[in-house]
Amino acid sequence: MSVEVEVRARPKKKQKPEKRSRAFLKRWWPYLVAVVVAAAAFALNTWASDRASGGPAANRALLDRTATSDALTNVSKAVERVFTYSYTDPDSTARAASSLLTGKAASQYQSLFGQVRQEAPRQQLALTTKVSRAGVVRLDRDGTAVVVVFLDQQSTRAGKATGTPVAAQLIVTAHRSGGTWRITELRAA
Amino acid sequence: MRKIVGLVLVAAALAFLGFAGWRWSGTVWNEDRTYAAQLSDMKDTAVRDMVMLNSVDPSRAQLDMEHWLDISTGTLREALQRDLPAAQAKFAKQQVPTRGEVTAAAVTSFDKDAGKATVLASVRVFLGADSGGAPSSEQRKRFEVGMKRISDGLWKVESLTPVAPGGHL
Repeated sequence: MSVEVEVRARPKKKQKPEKRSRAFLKRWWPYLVAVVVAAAAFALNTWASDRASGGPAANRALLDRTATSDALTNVSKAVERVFTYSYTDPDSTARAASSLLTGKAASQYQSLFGQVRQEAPRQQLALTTKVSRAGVVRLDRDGTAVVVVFLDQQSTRAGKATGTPVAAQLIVTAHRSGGTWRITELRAA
Repeated sequence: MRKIVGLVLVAAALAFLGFAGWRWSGTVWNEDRTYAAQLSDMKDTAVRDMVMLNSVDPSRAQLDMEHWLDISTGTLREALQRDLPAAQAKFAKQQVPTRGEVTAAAVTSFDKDAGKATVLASVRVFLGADSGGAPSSEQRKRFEVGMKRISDGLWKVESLTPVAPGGHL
């Protein structure tokens, strides 16, 4: 008996694995390089954004001089208007308050100022508020500013001063959108 | 064709990398950033100093007052030194501790080159407050603080002006 051993050449794979990957690389390397470079660029770009928005330079107070003085002028004016009041013309203060205050500030204003307004007509009260000093605590790129204002307030009863001017300090948060500043938060400092 | 598309993609990716690198380097070598860092450090110092200058623990008043001399310079330091004996006598009699808290601080001027700055600070001073105990009363104060740079990164309080009401009414 003879055993027939069939030695058949195994069907050869087209290429050896390493050869295949080499061919793949040869074909696609520009795409791979592009993907790797793009990933690195993306990472670097994200890092740059983080650095630009974080850190001490994120507070634009004084760094951006125009925006700083813009915030100071507008917040000071707004505070003077809403905290200046006369029993002879309460409406003008109310109008100023409704156009200059928004959100939380509206209710905070009520609690700070509501009593004065209630008492004013009966006692013929008037209050003049002047900003004696103001400084920007924080200024963000999105147009939000935190401003500390030192106020001097003089009240009069029937046109006569009730005493010497009184000091008050407020921490005011304001937001600028489309060129107009609105006060969003008011706190006693 | 495939090769051309690939190379165009590589070129685009490289351009993006260049752009990201340029943005990143802008955050490193940036005059604004160093200015901001110095300003922020100065402000932190001013706030810390204001807390210290408005706080006294009578049981260690001597130490507190020595601290005041450490953190002040120029006219303020001279004034503090001149008032030291009177202050010592006062704190020996009056055993009320005070604790200052800066409720808001804003830098109104900062000259990096001259080493001068002005800070507005509103301060609440709690009287009679000891650790854990509630304060018996509270004062609200406001100051214009003049800061001066003594050496690199070291700022001291040069002047401390209470902003009194009624200057212009």
